[in-house]
Amino acid sequence: MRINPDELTKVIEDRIKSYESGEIKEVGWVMQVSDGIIRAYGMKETMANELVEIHTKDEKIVYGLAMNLEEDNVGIIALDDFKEIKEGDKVVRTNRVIEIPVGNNLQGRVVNPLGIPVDGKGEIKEDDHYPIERKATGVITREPVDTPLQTGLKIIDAIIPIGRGQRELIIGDRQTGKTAIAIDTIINQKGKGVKCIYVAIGQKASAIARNIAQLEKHGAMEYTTVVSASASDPASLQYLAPYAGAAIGEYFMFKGEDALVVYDDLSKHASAYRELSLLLRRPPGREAYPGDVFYLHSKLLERAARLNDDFGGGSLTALPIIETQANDISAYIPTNVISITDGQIYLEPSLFYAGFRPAVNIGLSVSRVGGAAQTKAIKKVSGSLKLDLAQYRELESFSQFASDLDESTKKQLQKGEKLMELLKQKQYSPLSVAEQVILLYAANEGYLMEVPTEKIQNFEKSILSFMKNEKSDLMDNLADKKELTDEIKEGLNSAIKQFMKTFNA
Amino acid sequence: MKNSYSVAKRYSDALIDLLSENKKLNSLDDYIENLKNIISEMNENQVFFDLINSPLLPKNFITEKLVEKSKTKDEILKKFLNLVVIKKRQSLIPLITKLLINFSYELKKQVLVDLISAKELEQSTIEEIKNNLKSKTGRDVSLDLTIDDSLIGGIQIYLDDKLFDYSVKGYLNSVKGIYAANGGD
Repeated sequence: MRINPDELTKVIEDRIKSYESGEIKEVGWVMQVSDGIIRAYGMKETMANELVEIHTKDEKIVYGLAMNLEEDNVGIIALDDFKEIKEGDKVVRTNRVIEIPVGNNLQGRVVNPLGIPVDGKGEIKEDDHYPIERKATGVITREPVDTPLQTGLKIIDAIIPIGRGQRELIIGDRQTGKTAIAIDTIINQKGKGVKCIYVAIGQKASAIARNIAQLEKHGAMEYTTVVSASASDPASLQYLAPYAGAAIGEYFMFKGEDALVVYDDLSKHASAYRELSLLLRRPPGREAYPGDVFYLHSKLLERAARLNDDFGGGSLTALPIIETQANDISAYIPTNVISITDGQIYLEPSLFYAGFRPAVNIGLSVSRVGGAAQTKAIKKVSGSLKLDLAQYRELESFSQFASDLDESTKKQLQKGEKLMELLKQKQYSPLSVAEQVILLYAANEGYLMEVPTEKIQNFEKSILSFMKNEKSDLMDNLADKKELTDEIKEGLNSAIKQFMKTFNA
Repeated sequence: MKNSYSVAKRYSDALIDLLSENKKLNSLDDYIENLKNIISEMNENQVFFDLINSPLLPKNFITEKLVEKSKTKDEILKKFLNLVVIKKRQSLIPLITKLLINFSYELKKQVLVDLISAKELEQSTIEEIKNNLKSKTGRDVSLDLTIDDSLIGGIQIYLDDKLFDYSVKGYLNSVKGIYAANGGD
């Protein structure tokens, strides 16, 4: 801490001048501490969600959050180590709701849900403080989603497009690649001006470290803030983590910038809230979650928005993640979050183990508003793709009777197979819009039919490197216009034909 | 819950009602003294504390011990202590007493104020503080004086759940808070 002696003297002088007035604080006393929940009496005027200080006997201050205001006591959740808090300790009101430091300097840093850096890179000079809990911005300030948020994944950008300001749920069993989609999306935002926030809730510290390492390796940490509340952190911090992430994102949104926040994952968040609620003796409901578990997530996801130009035109896109048990998307928390969000990307273990990665189940996945935000070029090439894939899914069950099928059905099955192969994508290798358009255009125009299914991955790699090396002008033109003009179409046709000659040879 | 205010309040209210019905409210202070005897024995004598909280001993035996330590001859208090033991609420006796003390002050239109000072205060200062508080609260003030040299200088006054902090320690802490909030600038 830098101390300027002159300023310090002035502050002390000012305080001494106002000595006569004294300082009035409202205090209470701890009457019970158990499992991070503190019951205090006194403090009759305490506000809901107020930050309170608990003064321990050895002069340490532990912060807490007033959650339950009852007739004769206040239920407080400890935000730090509660082992030193003893019965009879003094609790002092701060008259402030809980806030988090926000600003540009948080980018590239790992912080806990209170904004305290945990990456050992020193203090963060914040630009402002935002309340962790804030009412979502109103209807007047919003406008419909109209700009795409490219994930860099063909299957998502083409079939389930996400727009800036949208809330798209990523749902699936454990080990199906939910986090991988989110991390790929963050990596793909490089140079696109989207500030990213990755909120890790209740995950293993090793998994968080691995994700941070991947983000660093791909140069994504420069524009990313990681809010970490690992499994070893108290439930109170796990409960606050997504709200803290939303507050950091809102700072960029209100500044007129675009931000993306990933909540990984909200199932653990709901569990942390259930733990707190049960310890606070709030009545349990279905699956022992408290009555307000829907509001818990709806108030969080409502904070994602696309602001209109009068309010700066910024956006906050939310990618919540939900982990299901044994594919059950009709459980309590999954159905709640599905109903709140603007669509979901459903990941299926059977697809994952069959080697179809990202294991997106196209039939059950949907984006309710993203279509409006899709770039024209992708929209054009993905239109027939959706139809072809739907037909393929219907015919898929007949594929084992291949020898008895008529020619047109066989052809359709082959096409679907090749398309599915094309939609496979390796982790940490997002594709640009132009690259995606080239691949999907080639598929649409039937060029894939000339390529054996097992060679499609090779085809993808080769055509992209061919286009980059030989037809960079066309790629640039496509990236600029983001539209399939006749001129570009012509260019694409001739380029692909030229490539096919060398590829087949 | 060991320190449940709501449970303790039910017992203190019941005792007050009973005393009021029997027109014995004016001797509430005697009852409080009796209960204080039990509390001091609970605090000083671990064996006594364990004994009254033992689930193995007969309840009438525990009641006898409580009555004996309270030095009371009053039937109402004896019955009250018996009820407390039957309901296994012995650990609530300190809280019940505290609520009775608060009610007693209320009854006498007095207010109990904790006054903590860094050094021993002169009688004239104490009187001045008393008068000042009386004019602010509109009630007679009963001061509970404590000396705590960690305050460095000045006084702290606890009135209900309000802390009036006129201590040097409090000011230094608030300066520290302002400095920390500004990131040391």
